[in-house]
Amino acid sequence: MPLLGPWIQHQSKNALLKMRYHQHGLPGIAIALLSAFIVPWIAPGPALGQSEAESEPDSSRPIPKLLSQDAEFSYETTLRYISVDGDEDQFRANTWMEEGFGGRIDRFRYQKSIGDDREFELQGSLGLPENNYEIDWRYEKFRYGYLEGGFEQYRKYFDETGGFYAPYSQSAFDLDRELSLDRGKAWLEAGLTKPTIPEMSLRYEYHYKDGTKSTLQWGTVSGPGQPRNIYPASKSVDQDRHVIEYRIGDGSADFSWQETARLEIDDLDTTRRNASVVRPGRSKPDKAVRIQEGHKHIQGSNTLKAEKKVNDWLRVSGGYLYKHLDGEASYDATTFLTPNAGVPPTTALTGNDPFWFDNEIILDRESHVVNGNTMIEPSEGLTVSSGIQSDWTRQSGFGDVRLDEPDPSGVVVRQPATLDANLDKLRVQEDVEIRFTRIPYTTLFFDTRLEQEQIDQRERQVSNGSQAFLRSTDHESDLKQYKTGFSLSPWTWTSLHASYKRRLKQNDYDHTRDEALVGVPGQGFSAFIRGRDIDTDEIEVKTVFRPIGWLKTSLRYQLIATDFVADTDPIAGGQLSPGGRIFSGNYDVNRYSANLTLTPWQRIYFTSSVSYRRSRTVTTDHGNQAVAPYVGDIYSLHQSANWIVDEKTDMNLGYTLSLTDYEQDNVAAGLPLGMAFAQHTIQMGFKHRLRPNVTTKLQYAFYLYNETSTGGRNDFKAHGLFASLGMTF
Amino acid sequence: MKSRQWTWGSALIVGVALLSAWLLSSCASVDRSVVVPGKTPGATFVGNDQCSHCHTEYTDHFAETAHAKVRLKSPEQTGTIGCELCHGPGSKHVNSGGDWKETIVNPGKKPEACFQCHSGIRARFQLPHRHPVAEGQMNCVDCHNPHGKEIGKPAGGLAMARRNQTCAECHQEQTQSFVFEHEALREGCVVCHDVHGSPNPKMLQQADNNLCLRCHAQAPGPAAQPGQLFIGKVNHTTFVQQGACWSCHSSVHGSNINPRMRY
Repeated sequence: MPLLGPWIQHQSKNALLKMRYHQHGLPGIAIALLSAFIVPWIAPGPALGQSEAESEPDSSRPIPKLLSQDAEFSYETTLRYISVDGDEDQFRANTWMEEGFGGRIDRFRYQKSIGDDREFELQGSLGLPENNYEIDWRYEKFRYGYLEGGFEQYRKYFDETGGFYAPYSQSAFDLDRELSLDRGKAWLEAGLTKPTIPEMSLRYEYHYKDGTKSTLQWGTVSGPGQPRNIYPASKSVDQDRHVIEYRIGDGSADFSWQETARLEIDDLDTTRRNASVVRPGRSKPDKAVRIQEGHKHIQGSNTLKAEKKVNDWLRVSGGYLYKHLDGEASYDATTFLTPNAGVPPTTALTGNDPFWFDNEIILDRESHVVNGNTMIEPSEGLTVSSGIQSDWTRQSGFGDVRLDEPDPSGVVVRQPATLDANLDKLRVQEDVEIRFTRIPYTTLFFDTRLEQEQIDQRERQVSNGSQAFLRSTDHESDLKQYKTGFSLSPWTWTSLHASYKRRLKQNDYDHTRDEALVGVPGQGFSAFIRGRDIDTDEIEVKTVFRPIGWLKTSLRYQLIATDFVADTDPIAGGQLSPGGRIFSGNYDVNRYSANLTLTPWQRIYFTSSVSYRRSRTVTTDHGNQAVAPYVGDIYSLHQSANWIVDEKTDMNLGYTLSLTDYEQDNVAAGLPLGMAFAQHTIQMGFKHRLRPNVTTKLQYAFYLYNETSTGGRNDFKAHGLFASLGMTF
Repeated sequence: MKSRQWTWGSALIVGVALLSAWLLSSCASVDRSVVVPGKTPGATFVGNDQCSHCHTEYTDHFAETAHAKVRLKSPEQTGTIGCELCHGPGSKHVNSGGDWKETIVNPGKKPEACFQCHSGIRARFQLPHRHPVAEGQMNCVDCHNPHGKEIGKPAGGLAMARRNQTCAECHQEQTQSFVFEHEALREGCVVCHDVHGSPNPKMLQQADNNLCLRCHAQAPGPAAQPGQLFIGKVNHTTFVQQGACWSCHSSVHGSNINPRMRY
């Protein structure tokens, strides 16, 4: 008690403590202490020298009625057991849960009204062994201010299996590691909401990522015929990010403004581990590359925006954003022979093995963005809104590096180099949106987005090796996007929505300088690309039927068709390529979906969604059999039903299916990478109310996953049992 | 064989449960109503005008938002259009003086309200490679502003989104500054990634070289033999046989040391 000293003597806090202790015991008192500690800091009321008159309610801002003056505390906790037969890593990656015993406080919530105008709330959830947390609290004195904070984290799991190549007669490789990445955030914010002064807030956020994830930079495995890149790879990530943000703003129905200043401090370290040689029949690599990268930056930004209602039919707004980034990076790639290489090693260092590192890499970026918008309602039922945004960015990077590589005898040769790359970007976006609702039961709309971009780009590498180059490019791009459509609902029981969208992005590259020390001048990488067009058409139709109150159905169709066109310079005097425009690729997607919702009786709810998606990607392969079209189907089904069995019992049943088939037939000439799997989930359970404030739940879940594209290596079957208890005080 | 037994076993369990539930529910009468996602139990529709009394920051701008195209000027269709289409019936919320706890649906907390219309998106969140929306770790509003001028941006900032701004909120690792940037990022993250969910790892649109060859293509010249695949002056025929482009060009989002995005 002496530790509680000065602040526990506050009368209102004593009252709180007593009440919590009698009602809820120790958990209540812990929360009461927290709230009591906060009270004098955020809700000083008249004690800070403010008169009661100053804190009189502003009738223009209604105070929400508090549900109860008594404290409310509720929680729901779940214990579970999941058994997995098969690939546990794939199970974790697919379901975001670990096998075995686990526990979770699905939600807990404490709410207390303090007096007439103050409230404290604490809520969250905790999950183990995934270490998923979500806790946030808020103390608010209405029309005065608030203090809030929280912490959240979730874990993403990764399967560590690489590719599968059937002719090797080996199952897919894996790293034999459990890969996961924790992503989290903690924050604290204080704000003032007094009607007599501008609203302001100060917020601190700490973001982090920590863990190891799988990557697709698969290493080379040798076997019969050509080697294949199928050995899995991983990347460790350690990121800390601090954000401080200050906001101030004020407004009325006619004019409002807001100013936001933000500072971000980022520290990111990654380590990639890629295998480069795996001998036939071996399960581990002989040679690998470790790439360690660091990136630190400080970024400051300031946004000012304002909005004015000029009259009943005209509203204007505008804003300005300034952003500056100062950063530095580090890089270290080292090739090494693993113990699997043996003594003496059966695998040697070769000329392509990197021993690259930096002495210094500096990054700098600065942006100015100006934005202006209007919204006009010239007549009843017609709204025209438009905006223009200019975005100028200057970016520069410099590197003093070493690109050392071994000579034919395996001795690493020193190759110093300097790199620099500078960009000046100017992008202007214009948009116009028109809505017309004068036609009975109909809304017509037309949206346009235009964008012009100019980029002056200069890249250079100065070194003695064959990689030295100088490139100076003027890049211009032009985007035109149009979308039009309507919504029609002549009767309450049906509606129809249809839209068409066209998007055309045209890129043009003018290489004013293109020099390479080795090879033919004018053909440096990647300065031979002269242009690229990406042209997309999109059609969407949706209809909804509600023939009777308890039945709702919807049908939807969507077509997305994208064409890619490339334009290049002649290569090697036209011998390797004559240059010119070429249709380089096509990506079409057809989606069909249907949804049915039934509530035939007040005690039954049933919903079912079915969707089918077929996509096809074909690229120009010039007869190369290794490149197969990427064509396949995805079938999805989601069904759930809820019954009220009696006054105290509910039952539920759910089934989901995802069926995908993108298998490719290029196994002889290439590496099939298309995915093919079937995933089923069945869930069923009941919820029973033991008392008005006590509920129990029992849930069973069955998971089945078959992935034929990895030869069954990732298959699993799992059963889960979940038991929950929920209480409210 | 064992798998088939399990399938039949599961079907039997489901059947028994269904039958039991039906029999039980038909033998008793209750006063409760089943809770429908996107609805607040016991609440009734009040119409958009009620909402505009307090929420002018949303209603004044709604005409310029993406969702405005499904809003009709039709008072008799209250509840099937407008605010309550997403937020559910609002009578409890209004009668409580604006309290939001359990009186109104907040799609920002649970995606079920969004899935009522966007059922195709729900199907994509069932795929193995997805953002954790169904798991409750993310919400639709983390990436979308349903009340804003642009649906594809989180709330706050200027009216229009900057390219890749939404993704960069979490994926700084991929969107950070690089000495040598991959120009594909100028087209936006979605040119390569299906951001709601994909059958392919890393939510890629294609899991193979087609993803890159859509842009990196050139007409073959007389010195290029049939079946040979050149990109620039480099013969990639053997490389594409071995596997995906990103096995060698591993720094696909940009590199601080190599203009070809290697290592």
